[in-house]
Amino acid sequence: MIVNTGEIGVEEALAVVGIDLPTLLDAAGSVLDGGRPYLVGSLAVGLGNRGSDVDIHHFQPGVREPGPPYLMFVEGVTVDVEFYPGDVAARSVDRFVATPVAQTGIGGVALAPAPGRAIEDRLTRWLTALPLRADDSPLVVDDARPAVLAVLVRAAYEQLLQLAALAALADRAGGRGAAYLWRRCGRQALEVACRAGGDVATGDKWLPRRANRTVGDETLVAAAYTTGDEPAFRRVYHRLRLPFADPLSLTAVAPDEGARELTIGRRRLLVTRHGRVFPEWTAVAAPTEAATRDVEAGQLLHAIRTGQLTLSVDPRACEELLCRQPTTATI
Amino acid sequence: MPTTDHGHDLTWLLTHGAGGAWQFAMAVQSCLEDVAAAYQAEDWPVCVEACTATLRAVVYCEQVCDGYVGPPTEVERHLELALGDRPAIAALHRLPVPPGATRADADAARQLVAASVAELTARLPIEVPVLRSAAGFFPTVRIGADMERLRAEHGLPPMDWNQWEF
Repeated sequence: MIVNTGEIGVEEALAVVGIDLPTLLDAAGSVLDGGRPYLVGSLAVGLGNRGSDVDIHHFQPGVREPGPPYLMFVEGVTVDVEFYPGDVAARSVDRFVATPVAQTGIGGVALAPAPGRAIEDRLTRWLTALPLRADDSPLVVDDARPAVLAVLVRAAYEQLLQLAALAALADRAGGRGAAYLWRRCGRQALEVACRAGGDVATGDKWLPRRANRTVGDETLVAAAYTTGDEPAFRRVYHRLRLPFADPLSLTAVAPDEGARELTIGRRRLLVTRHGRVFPEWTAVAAPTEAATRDVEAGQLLHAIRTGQLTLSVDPRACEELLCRQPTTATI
Repeated sequence: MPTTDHGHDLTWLLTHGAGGAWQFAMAVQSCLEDVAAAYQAEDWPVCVEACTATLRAVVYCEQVCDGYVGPPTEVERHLELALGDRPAIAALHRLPVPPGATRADADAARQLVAASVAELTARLPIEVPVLRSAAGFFPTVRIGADMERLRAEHGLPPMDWNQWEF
């Protein structure tokens, strides 16, 4: 079940911001001609309010690469049109349809690393896009939808593991910042659950509505937002049936590839990709748990925070965890 | 704009200050619109969530003003919000919980946001009009053009206006 594909029409979606489709098409004129325009974003998934933008992705033959957005204003409503090559959605989806999927307690989770935020955002929008013209077909064909959804679940799940690793390190470092990080973990667990339930959307602000309509348990949703420590977080992810294990064993730290060393006189310095200069820095490449044996947890957090180190999910360890679930299937 | 008895730092204005002002237009403004829209719709949980997003954007804007070349990863963002000591971060930690939020919670959240946004705008070297509006778009283009001309006069290359975007 993908929320709000076929469950909400374009006219109903546009009514939220107070315009109708003929008005939009008339105002857009030739901007929406010569291709296939789709409504994407919060309005397309039954979210949004009177102040929402109308986000349109227009797929046109002859467009070689995505360009800057075209902004227009229709009866006070901001309409944001982005142009894409005609076949890019199909090509993007084709990358993922053969990805193996683990069937877990929450459903399918892709057995491949998350594709990166930009691709994740596009897949989210395209999975739930509504054609402005009735004759245009969905951007993602029905057979491909479970595979794309599994990729989006995997992306949210990796973010959860990263946050949990940070929270665990914060606990070991004396607790400063740990409560905030564990609360983010609870919140991210809801995001994973929503996506696994077919409810995908961009924009953090819609999570309360999405969680209430997908998880359907307001007490659990409230608890997920207030998981201030590890035990509270564990209770939430058990109730959400998320696969989970020690995040320090599922993640690894390594020097940030965007940082570089430079020499001024006899002084060696590290410059991070954020333009910050450090006379001393932390360099370690290891699973996070192993790294804590050589580097104090607080120092690791400082190094990650300042761009000296990255913390990322170990894909093999993650997939071994996912495959320990009851069944594994390739879609 | 930060002021001292010795005037303003022109190099900062043309680099990090301009970046902070641009990020204010690109991120903080749209978050403030989301807050207002959710409040008008009496959607208090979404309003509080939008306030959270606004304060995150304020923190990032302040980092840009301080010379941070972005964008940070999600990991770096959350560590900054967990461990940083900026007033806007303290404000974020005082926000109400979104689920079950009431009008009073939304009001309290908006007050925290207003105070943080006021502190930020006092630091910015220029006021960028609301970008995503019929009235704000072209004046913003003019500001960008003026900045590029001044940078060229100052011996700086063209600005990469996208360098701070997520």
